[in-house]
Amino acid sequence: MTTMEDKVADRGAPSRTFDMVRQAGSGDLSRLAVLVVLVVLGQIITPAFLSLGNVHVILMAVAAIGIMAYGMTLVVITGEIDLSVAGIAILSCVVGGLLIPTGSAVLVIGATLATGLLVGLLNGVLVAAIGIPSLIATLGMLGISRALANIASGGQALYPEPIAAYLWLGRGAVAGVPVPVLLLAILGVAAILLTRYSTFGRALYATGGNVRAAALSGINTVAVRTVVFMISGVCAALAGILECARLSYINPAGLEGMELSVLAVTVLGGAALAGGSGSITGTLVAAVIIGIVNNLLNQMGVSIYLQQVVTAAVILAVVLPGMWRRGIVK
Amino acid sequence: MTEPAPLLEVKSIRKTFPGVLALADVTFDLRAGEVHSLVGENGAGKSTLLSIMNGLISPDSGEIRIGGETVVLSDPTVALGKRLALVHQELVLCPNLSVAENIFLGREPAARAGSNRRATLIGMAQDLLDEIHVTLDPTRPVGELSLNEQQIVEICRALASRPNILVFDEPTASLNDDQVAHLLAIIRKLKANGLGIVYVSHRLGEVLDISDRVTVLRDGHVVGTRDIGGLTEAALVSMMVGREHKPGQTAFRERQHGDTALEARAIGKADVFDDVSLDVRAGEIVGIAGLLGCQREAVVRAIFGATAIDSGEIRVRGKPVHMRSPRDAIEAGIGFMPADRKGEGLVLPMNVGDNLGLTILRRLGRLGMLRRRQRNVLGTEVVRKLAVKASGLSQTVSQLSGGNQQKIVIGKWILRGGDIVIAEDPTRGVDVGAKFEIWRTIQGLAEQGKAVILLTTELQEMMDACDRILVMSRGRVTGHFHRRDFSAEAIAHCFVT
Repeated sequence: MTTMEDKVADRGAPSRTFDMVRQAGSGDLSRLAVLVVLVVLGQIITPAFLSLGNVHVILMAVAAIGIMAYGMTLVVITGEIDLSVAGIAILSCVVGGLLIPTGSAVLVIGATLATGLLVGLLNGVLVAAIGIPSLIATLGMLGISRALANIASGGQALYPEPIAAYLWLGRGAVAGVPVPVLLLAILGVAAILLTRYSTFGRALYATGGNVRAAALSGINTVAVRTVVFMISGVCAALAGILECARLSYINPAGLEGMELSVLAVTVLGGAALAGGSGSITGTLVAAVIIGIVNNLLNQMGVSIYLQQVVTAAVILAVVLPGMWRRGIVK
Repeated sequence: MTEPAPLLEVKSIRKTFPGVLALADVTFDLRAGEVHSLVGENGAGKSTLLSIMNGLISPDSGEIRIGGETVVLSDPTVALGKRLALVHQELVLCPNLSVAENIFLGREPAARAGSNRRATLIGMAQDLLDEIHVTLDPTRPVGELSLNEQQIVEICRALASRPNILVFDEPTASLNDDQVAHLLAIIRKLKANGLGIVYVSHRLGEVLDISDRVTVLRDGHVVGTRDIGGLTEAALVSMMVGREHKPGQTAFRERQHGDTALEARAIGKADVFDDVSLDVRAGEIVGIAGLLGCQREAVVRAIFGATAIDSGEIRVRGKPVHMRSPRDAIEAGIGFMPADRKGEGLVLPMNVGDNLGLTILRRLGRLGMLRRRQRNVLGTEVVRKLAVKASGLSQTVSQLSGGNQQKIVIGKWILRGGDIVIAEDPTRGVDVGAKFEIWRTIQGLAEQGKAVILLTTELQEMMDACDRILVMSRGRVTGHFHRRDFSAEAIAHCFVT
């Protein structure tokens, strides 16, 4: 009888590569397939689809949502949820916006990101240290942060025009690549390193996969969950800046319902709400899929309401096969 | 004279999973009024066979006949329709519903006009309970019941479908001796009523006690089917593992004892345990014995920092340590192998390598990045040393058998390398071969000079392995025995004092 341990010793480079493909997950492959089909479809419908300009338009449109979804993906991997992202984004931008009269980009942007970090920390403490279910804690935080944003701004929009660096984040470009797209890419790489190749990443999946076992193995599960909420808060604040800079004003009532779009992208990306699974690459591909669908529908002049129906249908169509394979649905 | 067709015939069943031959040409039959046991090590194919008989998975080839008629069991409801019911190993009951409601969950009898549905349900549940001579109030919520009472509810649930064939999957895994005797009496009653019973258990004593025939599986093959007459436990074991297995192989070996590694001084936790003192020296295995509710699990969890103590002191190598979390305990060199492998020991969706690496994440990091190669080298070594049967470090642990999962739990702490080990029921639900290997490993840890605290449900196992045994009852230490004074009677006497 050959025990399978022999095979363990024989594992070489080829199988490791295979592992990485497999780790990427069959779900990721089906999403990639959908992406390819959409690209081909897009090229057929509009010949300029793959032009650099249109690619930038597509990616610009999903940069903010994608960055928020990175944070959300980390939260969902630990088995929690963050419904406060849109609230955090608005509150952070308003807090930063109040400092516009100082004329200091460092202060405005710094305060925005710091607010996101702080509210994220608060979420983390409520959920991980105190033990309030994240659905409730972050729903509460959504309400509180939106209300605070209105109180702090007096319900008035703020205008970031005087801060050139602020506007540059939403509208600038480096070597022809729009800054939001660049940020989406850079943060994506960082998040992939964090989830896949760092020790924190292992602690992240362990906490989401079985929080008891993780804690009994010596992982500080409270810290892990607190940190992911903080990351989600900062991602939300940054995404908020990108949106406000693109629109040139900070609307305290803006980004209505964006948390659900972010959650939809995360789930479309393959993260299971039960925790323990999910990937940044999946989330990124999902964001691009949504971007392409919206872009094509826009170019075809489909009404905004019908667009929402189509987007939702695409999400179901992509998510269902994976769930079916995993035996979640029949 | 022709014999009547068997109730159930499984013919030449073959089933493969990717890369694994789970069942090869398995043939098995069950007659009315007999108990036919299925035994084999973990990974022998018992679970796969049960799943096929219950319609959870389909075989690649082969045939199943029920009452002489070929059937295709596409899902469990089809099996139920053919009068084949399974008593689940894991209790799947709703704790806030009553006994009667649980028994008829999903198949409530249609309420007749003018009748009281609740009264009807209770009456029908009472009939079932009477049938197996069990006294249990059908109106009690299941959450209030003891484990074996819940088991009885599971049995009634299966009986409610009026089966001809009843399949028991490890029904006694979490029962004590009295409860097992009670369950076996119920099974005898069912057998006398003419049911055919398939019985799966790791406990060979009860298999010999209850069965008419035994079929032994090994690596997906049927080793043989034997009538129970003249069969011994030793003979069964050698069929299961394919080699001679003498109980003496795990015999106690004298070890050198060093300094006191761990000491608990009069530790207490309000309403849980009180004034518990114990010490373990390097190279020593100290058992904590006691019945359910004696709180020994709470004591070791407190020592590991998973719960806080209200009074007393824990010392590691003579120095007081304040355990605020398992991390403090791990830092002090303590490792903990919990009894509940799936709930507390392993992260099931993660793979073998990731699970093994969990206790040494910090050591595996360089600038926060995981040194994967380093982890693979260490992991592969442990997997080899413990003879884990896995396709590789990238295999998901949920796919491993119980014994191999337990080896991963042990491996985590071998990698961590602390010098104090708390092992809680390390062989629970593990087959004979793996059991032997696990006992050798734990004794090996003590021989290397580690201090071991051991909790097991089987007193004999504890007496075989330990240098000393502490007995607990209702949160207090009621006895302390050195190896030379071990006696099951004397120890058991302390269980209830």
